[in-house]
Amino acid sequence: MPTEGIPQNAEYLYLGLVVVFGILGAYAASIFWRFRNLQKDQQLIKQLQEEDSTH
Amino acid sequence: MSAVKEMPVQQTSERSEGDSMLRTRLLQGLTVITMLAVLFGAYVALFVVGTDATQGEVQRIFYFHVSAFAAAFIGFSVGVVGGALYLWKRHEKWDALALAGIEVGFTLSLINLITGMIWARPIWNTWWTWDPRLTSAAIMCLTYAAYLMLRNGIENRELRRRFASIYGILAMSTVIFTLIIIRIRPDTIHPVVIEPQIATQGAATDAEGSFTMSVTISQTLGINSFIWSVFLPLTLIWWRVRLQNAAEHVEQLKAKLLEQ
Repeated sequence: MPTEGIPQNAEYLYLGLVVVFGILGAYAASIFWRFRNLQKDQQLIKQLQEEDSTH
Repeated sequence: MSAVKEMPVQQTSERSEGDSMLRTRLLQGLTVITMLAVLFGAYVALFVVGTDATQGEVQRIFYFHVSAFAAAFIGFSVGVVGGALYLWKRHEKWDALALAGIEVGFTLSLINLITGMIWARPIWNTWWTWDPRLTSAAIMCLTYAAYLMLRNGIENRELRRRFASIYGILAMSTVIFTLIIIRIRPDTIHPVVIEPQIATQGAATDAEGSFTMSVTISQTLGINSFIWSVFLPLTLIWWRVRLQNAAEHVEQLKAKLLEQ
């Protein structure tokens, strides 16, 4: 396929792909970490409840 | 994924454990399908459709840029539906849906905005210009960023939900404005690529970076837009709703603990 005359700007496409999949990945990761933090909170609450019931 | 699996989504009294497990499996299956579908769409956009002769490789950003806006539109629409249903029914699940829709919509609108800037650099020779379309898209993103910040600033839950519902409904006007502005303002340089004949006479006459929609370009855009506006919002919103339900559950546990 002839490429003569076609602007050479593939680096901007790569940057765009990094942004697209970077933002999607970061959002998915944020959901996962927020779940993990909630799980830690829940474990702490359980622990406190158990300590409370033994006293 | 253990953290996600083990987190109770709703109180077991409300929903049986088996039902919850089934929903988790369904969501996990949908997540895998969505990931594969997005990768398939990217493969078609990057390797199947030909390179645009006038714009070069950077034109391929268009498939993600437009699809991200379509997906964001779905997210924000879910925000409107959730907000309206909350105001009507006053059930917290509708607020959770509205929040999920808007958060997902905001994330996807950021992709739309930033990919547009990246495309503009080689085509318009600038990362940013205060063009009507770009300005309205920026206002749209800022409006939804403010939604996410402001709702966290209200302590009273009922007031927070009511405020967020009304705000979410009103904020949709920025999305509609962004959608139609390239068809009504003649001084925008943003091209109208999809169905330009719909644009009013004289509109988008200053457009720079336009290109003809060939059959393969239309098909590739169709595939990507379908995947992005159906699978992606559905999966992300579902996860976000579950996260919100889990957060509400932990809040209830905290409140109980403080009462003791």
